[in-house]
Amino acid sequence: ECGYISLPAPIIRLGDPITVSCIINQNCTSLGPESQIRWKLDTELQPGGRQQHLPNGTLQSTITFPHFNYSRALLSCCLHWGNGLQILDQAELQAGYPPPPPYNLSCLLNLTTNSLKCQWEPGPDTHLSTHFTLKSFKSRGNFQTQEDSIPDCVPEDGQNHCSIPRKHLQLYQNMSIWVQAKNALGTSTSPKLCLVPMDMVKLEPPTLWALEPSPEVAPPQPGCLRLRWETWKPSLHIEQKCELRHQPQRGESSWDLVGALPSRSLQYELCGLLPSTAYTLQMRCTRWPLPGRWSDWSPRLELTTAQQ
Amino acid sequence: PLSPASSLPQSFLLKCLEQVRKIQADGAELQERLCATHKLCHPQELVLLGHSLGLPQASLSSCSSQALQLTGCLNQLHGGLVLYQGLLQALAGISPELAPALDILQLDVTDLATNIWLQMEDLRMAPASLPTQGTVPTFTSAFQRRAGGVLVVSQLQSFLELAYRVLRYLAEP
Repeated sequence: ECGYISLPAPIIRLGDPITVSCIINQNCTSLGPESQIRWKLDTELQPGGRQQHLPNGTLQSTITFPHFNYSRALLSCCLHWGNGLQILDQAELQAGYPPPPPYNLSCLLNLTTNSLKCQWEPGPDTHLSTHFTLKSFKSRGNFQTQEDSIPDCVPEDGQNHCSIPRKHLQLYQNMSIWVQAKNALGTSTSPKLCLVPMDMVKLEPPTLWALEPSPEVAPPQPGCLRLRWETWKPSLHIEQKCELRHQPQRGESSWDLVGALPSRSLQYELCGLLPSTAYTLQMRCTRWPLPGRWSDWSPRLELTTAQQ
Repeated sequence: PLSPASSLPQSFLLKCLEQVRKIQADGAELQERLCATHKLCHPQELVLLGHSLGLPQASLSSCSSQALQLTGCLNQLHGGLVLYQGLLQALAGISPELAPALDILQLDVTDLATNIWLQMEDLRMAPASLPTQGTVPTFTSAFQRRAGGVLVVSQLQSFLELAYRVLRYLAEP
């Protein structure tokens, strides 16, 4: 080959200085005493290369970029030849930052997929290809000592979440979980999250129904509503408590809350409301007395209270 | 807090009860699928086959309400779960439609067995070494695996019914 570029490192920290050399061999036919090496960054000619003939007959040019501020650039070593420039070699130079520690790591146990889905914030852009890995191990009492390892969970490219499948989980045992971020300039890890998968269960909302009037049952009292509900089927084995909120559809009243309701009721009468008034009702549930997360509020149920 | 009827933490007992309910639901799911997919709906129709397969049974004699012996009872609970873990493992290859339900059932049984074992260790009630799964029958045909599945799950449900009553009793405030 006629000439080649020599880089100290293909990837550097954004803003750092870098000195690059281009060496042209004496057997390069185009080489003459007045040959001039020129540098291009992408398409821009760069001033300031220092050129010297070496004792072994080769020609070397060195250029320094005091603050390299391009996240990605193509460096070309060229030689004046005839009326133009001949490109003898190219090198891609990248610059960015080492990965900051990921943060806001949180996990939820999904009872439908039976997997533990964890998500995190990656932090500011590093301008470099950065790989995230969700790491974890099973632990006994104090979350520090590793009992059983769990295979790394590698998210799809560009995703900041990963799901650990059920077969790698022990739903009722302690687990330590963290995120590792890695690129060419370094590695960082998030703070560790200590959890018991089952305590991270997030329930889907319960379903609310109006209770159809029936001949066997006296109609509801004025200012009362009758409804029933059932929790999300995949969570039927989980003891829960629920809360009901209601508000008149018209006007600006805030929600009223009825707490500590059972997870299932075939018939519930809500009284103390305004008569002949349309109400909006919603319910949510959480695992209880064992720890868990509140579900989202259920879809709205709209009912009107009996007349006076 | 400990529940009065035992030296077992209340949260441990509540978790076990939750796990037993889950396993019962898993088992019911598998039974429904065996019935729907392979028309194997009644264990009583498979008694002879059960005898020829020699399915082992798990005892909970130390858990009877008349003579509850806590350490012995937990040991039998754990031992029974380990036995069913092995039996469910032997059903591997039962059929593509049933495999996911069988996997979940097996994982949940293993989780409960581990939960009980770790609690026994914490309370210094655990024997020196983990019990072995014991001899497990070999199912030599797809039919035997499915029929064996009906029998194993049916026995597991009976075992769990008893276990649930014991755990409820132990968890009584």
